[in-house]
Amino acid sequence: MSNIGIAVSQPGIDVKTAADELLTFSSAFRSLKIYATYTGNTTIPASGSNFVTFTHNLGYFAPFIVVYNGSTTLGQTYSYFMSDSVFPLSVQMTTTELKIEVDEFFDQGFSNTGDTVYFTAYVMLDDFSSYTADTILTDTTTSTSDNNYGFAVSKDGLDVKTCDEEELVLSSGYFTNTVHKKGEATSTFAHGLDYVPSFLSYTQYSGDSYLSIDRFSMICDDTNASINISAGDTVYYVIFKTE
Amino acid sequence: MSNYGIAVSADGFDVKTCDDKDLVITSKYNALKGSISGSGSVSVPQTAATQTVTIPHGLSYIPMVQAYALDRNGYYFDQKWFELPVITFIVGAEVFWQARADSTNVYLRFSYDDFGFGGSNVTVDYKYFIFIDKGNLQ
Repeated sequence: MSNIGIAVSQPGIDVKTAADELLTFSSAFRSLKIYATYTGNTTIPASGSNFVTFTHNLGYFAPFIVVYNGSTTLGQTYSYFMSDSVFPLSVQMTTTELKIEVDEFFDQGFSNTGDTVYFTAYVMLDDFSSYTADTILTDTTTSTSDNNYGFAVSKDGLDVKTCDEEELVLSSGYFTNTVHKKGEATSTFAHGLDYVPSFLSYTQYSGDSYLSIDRFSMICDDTNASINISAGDTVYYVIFKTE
Repeated sequence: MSNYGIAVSADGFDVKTCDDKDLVITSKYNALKGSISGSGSVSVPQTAATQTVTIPHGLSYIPMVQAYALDRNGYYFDQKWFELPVITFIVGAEVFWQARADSTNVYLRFSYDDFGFGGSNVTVDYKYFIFIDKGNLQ
């Protein structure tokens, strides 16, 4: 594929020679777009489960991130990515909703029955239709420049010069999590990068109509994404170019 | 919402007519933005004593953080990168890997407990990715 379009590198990095994963943005590669953010809470029951439900109505499975923001007992000083203090969260992503299950064992040892537990969630606009980005450049130059020049794009209603950095659609000051490959998998596959990438993965267990979090269903080395599931299960994944 | 700003479609898609999800970027939706990434190694005794790697992020709020780790000695795991958290009870050992963040730091915490067997330290390699996007929107 010819490399035409727009590319932006971080300050201090030559945009013509930067490795793919060091570009802030490139029209050659997709990035995950945040469809919506949510906050919610519920209480830890004495038995059974309570659910925090966020309705997205996208009509398809989408990548998501859920952050546990603490509880009445634990406090809200720390947050945990896709887990409680100890275990991965029990989450169900359907084609219309994202549901977080809180049962009597939630955050066991750190939170108590009756505690209010708090969550932040991101649902992406992107789906899991099969996609593999080309590899264009593989230079290993890195930079940590703090110079704030380049370009920035704000959302409607926000002043690009004064809004907070995290409110920007895009900024040449920060990496965009460029998508290298996404789709569905039922067996181990070569990811095509010669380094260990970052990724998001979700599992649809046989018979379920939703995606769940399972830390061991997909693990990566510098060659392959190893899929460790039972017959009938499917892993939905997004692999980033970020090393 | 009025549709103005910037939009870039992927190769093969008409930027004016394709679905928003097929755009590389659009000013209608924020991109998930990375900030700081890094890696390192930590030596963890098998005495249940938690080893904590503290990483200042400089953001003044709680960010999202994703982390992976590899048990370089291969005592209890295949030598592949696992996404944190990992807690597992194996015959002869309990292993706990966790990532959390506050408004100042990211903390990667590792512990091994071989229940007094006296095994030597485990070397754990780790990688982390800190997002600009907030981890706590409460």
